[in-house]
Amino acid sequence: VAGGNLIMLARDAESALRAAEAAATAMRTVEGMIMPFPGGIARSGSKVGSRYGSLPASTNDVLCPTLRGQVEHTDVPPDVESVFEIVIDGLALEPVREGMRRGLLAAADAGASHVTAGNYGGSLGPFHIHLHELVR
Amino acid sequence: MTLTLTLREAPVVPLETEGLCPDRLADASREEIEALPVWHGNERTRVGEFFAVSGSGDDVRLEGDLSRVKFVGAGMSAGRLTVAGDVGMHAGAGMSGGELHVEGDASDWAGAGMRGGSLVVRGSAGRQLGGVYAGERAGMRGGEIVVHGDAGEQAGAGLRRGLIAVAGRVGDAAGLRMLAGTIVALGGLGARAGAGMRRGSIVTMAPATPLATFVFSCVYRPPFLGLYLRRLRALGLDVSEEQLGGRYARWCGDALELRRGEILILEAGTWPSRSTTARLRSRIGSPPRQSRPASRSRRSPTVRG
Repeated sequence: VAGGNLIMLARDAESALRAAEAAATAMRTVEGMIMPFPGGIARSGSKVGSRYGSLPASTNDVLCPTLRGQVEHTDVPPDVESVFEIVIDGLALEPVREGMRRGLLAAADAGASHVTAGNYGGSLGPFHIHLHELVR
Repeated sequence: MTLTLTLREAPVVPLETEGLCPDRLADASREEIEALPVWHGNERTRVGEFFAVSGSGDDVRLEGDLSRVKFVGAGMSAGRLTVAGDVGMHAGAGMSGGELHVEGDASDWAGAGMRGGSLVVRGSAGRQLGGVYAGERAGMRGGEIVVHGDAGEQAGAGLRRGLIAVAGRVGDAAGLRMLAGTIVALGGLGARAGAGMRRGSIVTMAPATPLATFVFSCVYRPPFLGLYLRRLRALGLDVSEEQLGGRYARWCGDALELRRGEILILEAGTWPSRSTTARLRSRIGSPPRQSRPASRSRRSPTVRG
């Protein structure tokens, strides 16, 4: 199960990084999943697809604060200025779910103003992990 | 060795001297240099009529009051040319290499249409610094312009590539219709900066109000800017630690064009950074702050689209 993700938003880079680091630390305790990026954290989140046919992924522009003034639609709330992403690859669905659950709670505790995730309309595969269900 | 040309007396009407470039003067004899053509008003005459020539080499020094001497260093491609004082219009226009140092002020159109090399003005520059000539699609296309004083209106107009850095204030309409490249105004910008810009960056260290056709993005630390500012500090500009480490508001525009340009405005009071403060606090054992005091609303009164 590859491409699970957790996206942390916060009011500034320091807060967002602190939340992402807390989430990555909590997620490392789960067996059967890895976070492939250095330190577990991707500074530049990506989306599936791009405007170029040969480029399978590109900047996730709707969640990029720096591009907020340039795109037609943005999902970045007005008081958010930094976004980090944690990408998760697991041996099965359950370790990915458990990793996301622990990361979600840790990020919220560490000061993230928002936490979200993306499947990009099914482009990332058949698995859907809904964050609300993880914390019920 | 230095080749020195000393202007005997300031001309009554402007003197146009498109041949005064180190690469053209380096291998020429004194007689050949004195025979080079110049225009004194509408009269074609010789360099020797106005300048006393001494020495040789591609390190050229011009002395005297050259404030009415136009096109000094225009089109130069190599060597070093120093103007010991003020210089007239179009200095370094279209230059593609070498170094042009002006120890006084430079008049209008300095570095206009420049393609490479470096132009350093120790005083202030006039209008259209690195600008675009009428009928040209692009102005400056490469190289580096550093002004230690102020710059006039329309600095970097039509800029396509390269860096224009001004220690003082830049006049109105900086980066007018610029295509790309970077303008750094350490002393602040005049009105209508970036009007019609397509791409590129305009950086200012003083508060500024972008045009209504610019849209606020975020406040952040642009990674590229540290490299640029360290380079400018190495070139002798007074870049502060706050400017190096501070956070910048990013405005995207011009929405009437591609909206891929940016104006970066230094946020006062964002340095020392929160992370620096947090590290210092952690050393003395108190927890870092978790939130900022207030959110901002910076939507430009324009409609997105």
